[in-house]
Amino acid sequence: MDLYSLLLEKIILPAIAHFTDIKMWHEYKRMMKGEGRSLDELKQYQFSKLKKILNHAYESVPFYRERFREIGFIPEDIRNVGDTIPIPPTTKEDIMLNFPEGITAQGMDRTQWKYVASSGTTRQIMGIHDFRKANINWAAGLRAHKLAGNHTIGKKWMEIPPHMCTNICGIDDSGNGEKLFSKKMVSLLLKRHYRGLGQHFYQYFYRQRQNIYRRITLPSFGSEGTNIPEKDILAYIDSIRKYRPHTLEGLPLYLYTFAKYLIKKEIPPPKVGVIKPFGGSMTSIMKQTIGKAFGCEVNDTYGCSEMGFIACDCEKHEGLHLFMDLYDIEVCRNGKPVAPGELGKLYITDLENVAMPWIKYDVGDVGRYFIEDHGCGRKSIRLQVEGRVEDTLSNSRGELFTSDQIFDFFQGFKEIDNFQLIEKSKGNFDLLFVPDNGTDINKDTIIQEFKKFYSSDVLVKLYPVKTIKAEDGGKFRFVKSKSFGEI
Amino acid sequence: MSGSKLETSKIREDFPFLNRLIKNKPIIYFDNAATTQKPRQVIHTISNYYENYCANIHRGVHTLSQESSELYEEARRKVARFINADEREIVFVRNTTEAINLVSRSLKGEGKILTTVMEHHSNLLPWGRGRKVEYVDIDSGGRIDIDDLRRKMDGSTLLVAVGHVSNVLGLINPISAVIEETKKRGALCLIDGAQSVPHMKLDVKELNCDFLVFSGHKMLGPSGIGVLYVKEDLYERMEPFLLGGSTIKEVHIDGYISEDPPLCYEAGTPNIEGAIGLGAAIDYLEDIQMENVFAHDKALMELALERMGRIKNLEIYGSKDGEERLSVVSFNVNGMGCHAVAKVLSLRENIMIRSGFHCAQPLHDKLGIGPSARVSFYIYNTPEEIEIMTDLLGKLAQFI
Repeated sequence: MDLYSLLLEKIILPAIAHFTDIKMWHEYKRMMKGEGRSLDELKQYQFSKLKKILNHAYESVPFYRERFREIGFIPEDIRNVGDTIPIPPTTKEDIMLNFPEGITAQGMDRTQWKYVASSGTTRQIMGIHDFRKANINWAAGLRAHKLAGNHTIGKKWMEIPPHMCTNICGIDDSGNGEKLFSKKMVSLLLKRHYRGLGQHFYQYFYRQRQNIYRRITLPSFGSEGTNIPEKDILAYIDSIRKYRPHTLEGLPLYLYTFAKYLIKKEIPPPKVGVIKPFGGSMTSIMKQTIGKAFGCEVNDTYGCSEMGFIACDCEKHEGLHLFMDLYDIEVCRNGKPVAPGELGKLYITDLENVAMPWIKYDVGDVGRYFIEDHGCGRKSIRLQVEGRVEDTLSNSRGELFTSDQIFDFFQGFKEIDNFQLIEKSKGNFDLLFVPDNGTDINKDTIIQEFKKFYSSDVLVKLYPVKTIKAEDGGKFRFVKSKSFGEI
Repeated sequence: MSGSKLETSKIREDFPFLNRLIKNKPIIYFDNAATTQKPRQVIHTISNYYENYCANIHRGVHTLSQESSELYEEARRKVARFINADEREIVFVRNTTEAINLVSRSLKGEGKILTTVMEHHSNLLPWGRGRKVEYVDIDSGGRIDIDDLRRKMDGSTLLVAVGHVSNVLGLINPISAVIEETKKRGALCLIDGAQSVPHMKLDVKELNCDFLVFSGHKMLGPSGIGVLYVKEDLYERMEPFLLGGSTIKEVHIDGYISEDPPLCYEAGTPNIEGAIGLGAAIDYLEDIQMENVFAHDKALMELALERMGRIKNLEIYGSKDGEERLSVVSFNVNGMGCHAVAKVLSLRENIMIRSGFHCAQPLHDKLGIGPSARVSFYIYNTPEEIEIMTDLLGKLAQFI
């Protein structure tokens, strides 16, 4: 650990926690200690918090009160986690139609609440975090980075997020903010408004977090799509090589692009401590290729802007360990819980957000959970997130295919560099593909193989393209369907 | 609503989009500065053209071509009449952006271009290509600073390009004063009327501007049709920058004779149905009278300013004096991103507003703000709609 990290960890963060109401460091320490719990202990702890948040939602939040009453659900009566099955999932539409007054807790002090929003413009979803939840989120972020990659605060960090609209639409709309030494600070000091002063400092340092984290952000691929010019790939690799980050975080497709290039050109990789996907699902093939190319650990985390960090990898890479002290997750198909290992929609309950409880929130992702102890030392259940619900296909036999599965299938063809599979109507596909340089495409073989993999009764047309365009917000969808599978 | 003589309820019957329900609620459309909805009269005119008159113009002797040409030229006459110009002074283009680019590329002479920091990107970027550009500042109220304009005008100034109404602040610029200053120095003046022509009666002769540009889709017309007004004697100082069909009288292998303006600036088959549709939109606006449109939009804007001004934690940009503004109000709810505000309004009450930089990022930089939310009104909007919006904004702004 370098001196800066040491200073932060041993002196500055503990001092902040001790002298101010920013208890992030205490929360982090508490969370890390809790990682040693057995599964039974975790379940017990999780259940007690679940009951508490359900009670709170029932007592204080108009939307949940009405919903629970409609189905005759009384939180006091639940005896185990399974008793929450009758509660319908809370959809994004539910949230937005009731936001803010109908979906937040009444009778609470709102002065330290803050709005949070997911990225992107068209699918943006709003939320509110109270001050404690904000601290817990921060701590959960440190925890995820520590457990999945041994990243401690202050180590060098580089990110390549997907947002392509920052300059045109101004997505980064957090505002310019005030300076540390400003009229406002003097005014607060003269009025001896120490709490306000603390907030002022907090907000200032929050805005300065890039510098504090030693994090630098590289621009996204932008409107170029998946296949950017070779000189741009080299420029990215050069930037990584020069900065030598401990953690390199980026949209999986970006990292995969660099990895493929490094392997193809047999270029020595830049020195990176750990690689983390960010803003999208990382498939098995992506993970293997990136690990091979960079010669380092590839550790995944799972979370969303509206909630925070939810789960993170371990060295076994057999699913992400759920932060069971912070969240409860149901994996359901057709509204019913599935068995471990089976695919379903993820419904997430945030056990910590009292300002705006998220109860069985339909986050829009699909995945599986695993319960058995796989020997890494952490006992919490594991999640394998495999993409978005809307990108999951269903064949004529009702079998589901996640976008991760489809990605890995097409990446098995050396002729295909990138692709997008569009289901125009049930069983009728267009496959846009970027041919890999120097290979001949045998369209018939690809079609036949896809029929074997997916279903023999489909119609597939192949169209070569130069790049696959990104969606709103800069993320990529490799599978698009107008009739995605009922899950 | 005081000052407005528009029969809004009758007007609303002309707009089919108002019949659409989303989640059993009607749409409240407050994104008119981006584009307006279309009345059935315009929709019918365009479909009637396709059903009965569709043919290429100007080069055919058959009946359909002649009818189609007549409809197209009739549209030009309507546009000319609408701004008190001569039909020879009207060039059809795709939109305001293309019109400005056309002037930038066609105008002969080297001199300096003066524009302002408040402009839409379309009145900034086209001038930067191969021309020297300087930017006139805005005053504390957000309008063009005439003193700064005077300071920056000199003998080398070729043209001053200024927006009549800011698409962010809604402020009505003192363009008469701008034109007067410009004329004193012997320079030309281009007025970006994208946000003013749809809302007020403009007379180019009275204004004495050299160029006026605006878009059809912001004034009930179809998209893909816009207008460049060129004071007729200025054609001598311009040369076509797109050549091809329609722009020539004769072509020989060793040369060509250019068509007369405005046709020499309309290369290739133009947006015929778009021009005819714009003509129908102008008919509609003239029927209800631009004085009434102006009064209606202003009254709505004043109501919005008054109601939004009462909301704590909501910051309105630009002057709060309704006399100085027209139809557009940009704002932010403190602590809540503008995209989130727009999303909540849309999902809860089907209120469609815009969020972002509104293609005027330098102005946002100048104001020291990030992106903003923007509401903008037109003839089919009502005070009741504004009340629904401000009630919801109040909830959002005062919640935290």
